[in-house]
Order: sequence, then structure tokens, then C-alpha cells
Amino acid sequence: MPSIHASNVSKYYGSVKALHNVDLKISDGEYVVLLGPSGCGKTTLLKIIAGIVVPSSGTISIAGKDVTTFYPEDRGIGFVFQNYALFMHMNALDNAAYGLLARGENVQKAHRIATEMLQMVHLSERADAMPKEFSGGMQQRLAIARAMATGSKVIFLDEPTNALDAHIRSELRVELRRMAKSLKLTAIHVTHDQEEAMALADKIVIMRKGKILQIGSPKEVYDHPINPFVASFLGEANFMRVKFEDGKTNLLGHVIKSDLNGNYIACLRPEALHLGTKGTRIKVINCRPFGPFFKYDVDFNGLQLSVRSTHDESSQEHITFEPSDVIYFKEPEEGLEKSLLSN
Amino acid sequence: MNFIDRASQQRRWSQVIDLIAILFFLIIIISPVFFIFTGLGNFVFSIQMQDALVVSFSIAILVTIIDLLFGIPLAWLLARKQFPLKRVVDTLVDLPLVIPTSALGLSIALFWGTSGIGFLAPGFLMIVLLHITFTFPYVVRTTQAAILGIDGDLGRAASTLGASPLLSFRTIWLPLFRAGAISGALLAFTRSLGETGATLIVAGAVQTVPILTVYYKNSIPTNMDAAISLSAIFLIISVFIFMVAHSQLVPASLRMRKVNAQAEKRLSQLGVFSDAASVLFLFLLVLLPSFYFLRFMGFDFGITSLLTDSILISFLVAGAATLLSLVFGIPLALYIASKQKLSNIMKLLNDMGMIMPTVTIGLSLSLFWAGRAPDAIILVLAHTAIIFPYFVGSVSEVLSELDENLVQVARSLGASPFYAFHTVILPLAKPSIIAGIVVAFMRSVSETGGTLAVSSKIQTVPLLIVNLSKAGDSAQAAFSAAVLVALALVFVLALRWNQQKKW
Repeated sequence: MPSIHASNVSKYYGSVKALHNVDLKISDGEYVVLLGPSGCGKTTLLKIIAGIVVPSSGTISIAGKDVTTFYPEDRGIGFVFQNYALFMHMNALDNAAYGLLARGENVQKAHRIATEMLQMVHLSERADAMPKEFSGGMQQRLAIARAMATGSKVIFLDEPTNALDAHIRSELRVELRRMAKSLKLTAIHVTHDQEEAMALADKIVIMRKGKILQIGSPKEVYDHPINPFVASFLGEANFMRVKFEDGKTNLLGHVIKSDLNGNYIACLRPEALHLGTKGTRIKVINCRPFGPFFKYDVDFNGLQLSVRSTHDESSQEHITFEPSDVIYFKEPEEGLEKSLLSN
Repeated sequence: MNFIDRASQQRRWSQVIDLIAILFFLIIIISPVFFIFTGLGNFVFSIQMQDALVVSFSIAILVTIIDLLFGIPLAWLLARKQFPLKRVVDTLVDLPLVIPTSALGLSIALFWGTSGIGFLAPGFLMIVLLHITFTFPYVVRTTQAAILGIDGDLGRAASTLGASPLLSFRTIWLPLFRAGAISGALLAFTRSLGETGATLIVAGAVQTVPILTVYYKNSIPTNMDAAISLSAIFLIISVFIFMVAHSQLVPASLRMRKVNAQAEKRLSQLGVFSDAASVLFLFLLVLLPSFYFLRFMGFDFGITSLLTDSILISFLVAGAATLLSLVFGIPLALYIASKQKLSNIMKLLNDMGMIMPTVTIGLSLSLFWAGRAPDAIILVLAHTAIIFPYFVGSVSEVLSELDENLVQVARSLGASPFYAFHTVILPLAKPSIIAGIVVAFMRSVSETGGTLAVSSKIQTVPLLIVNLSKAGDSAQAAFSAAVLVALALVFVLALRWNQQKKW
């Protein structure tokens, strides 16, 4: 069963720490998304697990077998590259069949399986075409078919939707998850796009500065981020400094009771704030329609907040919120502003 | 905006520049080089010529095959792998190109002959060994550049798909750098066919086409008809081979077949041996024989003034020829790269210029300019004619691969064509232009055969070496060659150093 365990993995480039003591366990059949800003080490981690990059220390095991010293070709994996890395000098069928042929499969069987794979990504009609005749989306689907055709139960995807336009991108996400689930694959998918992570993942791994910050289901990490960075990376968040004294504090004109004590950072998602005729007085300074919802910038005593609502409420002058929607963080060691930066 | 910027905005001016470059090429390079064919009285063909043609082409083919056999692994090693002293090995590859061909011939004869290893007499095999030394760098360099141009993710993709290193090399890398290796092989092939000066020293009784041409020229009375006929046949065959080879430069395509995965995997482990063999080949069969002459170096103050004069002459001639190539070569390279009406014809003529044996070029030029210019000028023009095609060929190749959008972007930002050229194209093409200058300059400094054909009075260093060794003074000849090599090296390293700086 292809579970994956990266244990205590570090990677140094000279004095630069790309990864620092990372530990990650992935169960069989899970779709895991490594999410983080560029330079956080997510691609390095993926390439180390795949055997493309050699770690400075730590071990990798796939399906219970220590593969740390194995070359990529001996790990039994599939890898979808960011720039597709299609073999431009081979037609689509040979691209898809390459992994099977490389493992010594006979041509007939390799072509049969490759054709099935091409069918799955809707390219079987173009099996004879060269990759350069394909659009970006088709090239990407071919790259996915090629990685999956080998029959390996582990697939790695490095920002696979990066170069596609928004519409094709969301289509491909749906398809990726469907294929991974129907073929019972264990998948690790790298992206810096939180929406993509939400759409695909069973489990999201959030990384920053070569370290894993939090691992959890999309709902867990969105609703219960462990620090301001995770909260802001997974979606918009309004941060406000508060001080609890005698079990209560004042937030946006509301008195909130709690057993907390001392200085905290309160975090409210834009959709947790509600515009209306009651509550704290604010001023709407900007309203933008986004199709299914509206986004507002509102001003509260010089503090600018982001608010989201499903209908136009730009004439309203008050906001309310549920105290249970507020997330509290301790002030990060490096300070709030610095803790929100990518690097 | 200065005058040049404004002027360059008018289409007329860029056409004038194209025209000047083409006229220079046709009148100063091509016409004199092919002038020799106008002097043909009766076409002659003899068994002797047939033999020389067979010998020349067999040598060139054999040399090219050996170059590829060891040059591809070395290029692969230098482009793809890290190992201690890699930079040193990388620099050493070019070194044989710096040695004057006359000294190189001497060195090879000494190394393989009785004063060195001692089992080879001058002849066929020694010519092959000689030609390997000065053609090997071309194959390694062009192949290396082609490998470096391939996206490394393709190899990584192959290995994640389960391909062994050998399978990945065979099915991914080789098809993609094949065109680069072929153009390197073509350079090696043409250099081998045309080389005269060094071959004379190691040939013994064997006659290659250039040697037979020298023989016809020196026979009394001069047998011009035979020399011209031979050159003509030679050129026609060469151009034919060139065109066939060029037709192989189509974009790669490959159909996959059944793979014996286990066998290829086991064979992959032999990669270490091919790495070692290619480096050993470089040191033992290319560098050591090339620099063997240094062992015989001796010095006597009597030669000082003669040598400094020769060095001055050599560098003046090489400098002038390189400058001419630079000034007129870049516009021509741009013209060829821009795929205009006459681009293909210019490219073909340029390739033909490359194939011509240097002795024929020298001979043809001295006939063309006879009485119309002093020997010194003719010599500069001869050297220009010899190095110009190499410069244009390598620079136009790189220019044609540059993204056309770059110039459009610069223009859209308000740059004049001239400004766009010297701020966008030139900096990007700079490494290849400098590499072109290095090769051209070194070719000129080390050129022997063509120089001899123009004039034996103007004593460049290679000629001094020939004269010294004729007089039996091989110690002084070796010393002169060493000084020239040292100076040329300083020049090359200075250029390389400059290459690493920003434009």
C-alpha cells in the first residue's frame, strides 16, 4: 500500500535552508496538497520524495520501503512537471507509453494501456499528433496521462495548472481529483493557489520558510488556522490587536467575554462580518461586485476592514459579527506584519 | 536620439547595411576564393588525383567518427555532470586550436615518431591522429552547447517514468542534441579536409588533396590546370556531402520500440567508463601529443628580434582579419539569420568558403589580387577569407535562435532598430560573438598553409616555425610556437574574462 513518509528531511544549498527538519506522513489513497508561497520549499520537498533532489539529511519511505538512496526510476512513481516536460520529438501515444516501454513492457500492451490513458484525458483521437500541435491544456492532460500510464500508485504533481487559463484550470482540477480517486492513487500536489488546494485536497500541508506550519483537512485549516500566516494565506482575514482584562475585551465596539488573558490578535474572515442596520457604526468606502458575492472595504475609526456579502449592501452603516467566529492568536515572535510575509 | 538612431529608423539604411555586408562578402571573400576556377584551361583528372581524393575523404570520415565517439561522451560529461577540476578540463578542450598548425604537425610527428612514443612513421595513421587534435574541440564544443540548450526536466521526466540513464540518453537526449553534434561533426569534417600546413609535416609519402595541390603549384612549371581541376572536384564532392548532412538537421522525431529494460540498466552502470575514456582520450590523444613539442624547446638570443617581428606580424594580421570579420561578419550573420530572400544562398556560399582547403584559398587570392595589392594586404585578405566563414557560421546560428519578439518589444518601447540591436541583440549574442572572435583569431594566428601560398616573404610565426624546422632548428621552432601559444592564451583568457562581465 503506497503510504509515504518523509522523515526529518532537510535540504541546504550552501548556507540557504530550503527545508528544515520536515516530517510528513501521507496515507494510502490520500490526495495531499502542499501549499505555500513561492520559495517555501514545497517543490523541493516534492522533488526529494520523488528522488529528483537528494536531501541533505532525513529519510523517505514509500509503501513502507526506505527509498532514500533510490534513483527516481526505481521508486515506482509518476511525476507531472510544472512545464509539462513533454518529449517534443515523440507523438502523444509514445509519450504516454514511454513509462511502460521503459519498464520493458511489450509494445502492443504498452500502446493499449497508453491508449486507454489518452482516452481518459480525452486525447485518444490525437494519439498520432506531436505535442507541439497541442494547446496548453491538452499538453497538460498528456503529461498527466503519461505519468499515470505506468500504473504506479503514487503520483506527484508540481504546480500542474500554473500555465493554464482560469477556466481550463478549474475544469482540470475536477478531472485530476476524479482520476486520482478512480485509479486509487496516492497524490501529492504542489501549488501556491489556496483555491486549488481547497478544491482538490483531502489534506492540506501549509509550508513557509522551509517548514511545515499546519496539516489538516481544508475545513480544519480554514476554520482553525494555527497562526496569522495560515489564516491569511488560506483566504482574506482582518486582524485586530486586542487586550483581555478581567476576562473581557472590546472588539469593533462589541464587548467580548472570554477566559483569555493578556494581548491577542483577533482574526475575522470577511464573511464573518455582516453589514446591516444594527451593531457597530462603520462607513463603506468601496464596493466591488464579484459575481456571486460583493466585496466591501469599510472604515471603522480609521481601521480598514474587508467584508463580504452575497448581496448589495453598500448603503448600510453598521456591522455585526458572532463572537464564536473570532479566532485568537498569540502575537507571533517576529511580529504580526513580518509573520504575514512569504519569506 | 543621436544620428545613428534616427538614421537606423529609415528602412533604407538597414538595406544599405545589408547591401554593404553582402557586397563585401561577395567581392572580398567569395570572388577571390573562387577566382581560381576561372583560370582553368583544360580539365585534368588522373589516378593520382583519385587517390588523393580517396585518402582525403577517408581521413576526414575516420577523424569525424572518432571525434564523435569520444567527443559526445566528453561533451555530455562537461555539460551534465559535476566533478573535481571540471573548469580546468573545460578550458583545456580549446587549447589545441591555439597551436600554430605547423608547430602542431611537428609536435604530432615528434610524439608518435621515434623521438616520442616511437612506433609510427609519418603517413595515413599519423595524419588521422593529427587531424583529431584540431577537430576534436569543434565536436566537443558544439555538442556541449546543444546539450546545455535542452531542458533538464526532460531527463528528469524520463527517469520518473522509470527510464535508466542509458535509455534516457538514447531516447531523449541524443535525438534532441543530434543536430548540434552533426553541425560540430561537419565543422570537424571540413577542417580535416582543408588542412594543409600541419598535414604536410606528418604526411610522409601520403598525398591528401591539399598536399597534392601544393605539389602541383610547386612543380616546375606550375601545373595550374591540375591544381584547379582537383580543387573543383574536391569542392563539388564536399558541397554534396555538406548538403546531405544539412538535410539531416531536421527537428528530431522518434518512434519508441521495445526496450530491454534490464540490459539497459546494467549497461548504464558502464557510464563511468565512458566518462573516464573520454577524459583519457582528451589528455592522451589530443592534449599530450599537441603540446609534446614543448619538450624540445630551446632558446638562443639570436632569434629574439626575428621572433618579436614575427609575433608582431602574426598579431597584426590576425587582428586586422578578425576586425574585418567582426565588422562585416555581424551584419551578414544578421542577414542570414533573418531569413531574407538571399539568406540561403549566402549561407551556402559561406559553407563553401569553409570547405575550401586553405592552400587553395591562398593560391586563389594571390592570383586574384596579383599586382593589384601589396603582399601584406593580400595576406590580411587571405586570412579574412579563411576565418570569415567560421565567424559568420557560428554567429548566425546563434542569432537565428534568438527570440524575434525581443526586438519587437524593444521597438515597441520606442527603441530605434540600431538601439534595439546594441542593447538587446548584441548583449544576448555576446557570448557567441566572443567565442567566434576567439576561434577566428586563433585560426588566423595558427594558420600556415594559406599563408605559405600567398607569400613566403612575410614571416608570420607559423612560417618562422616552418623555416626554422626546415633549417633543422626544431628547438627554436618549438620555442617560437610556445611563445605564440602563451600570447594567444593570454588573449583568449582576457576575452573569456571579459565575457563573464556584463556588457
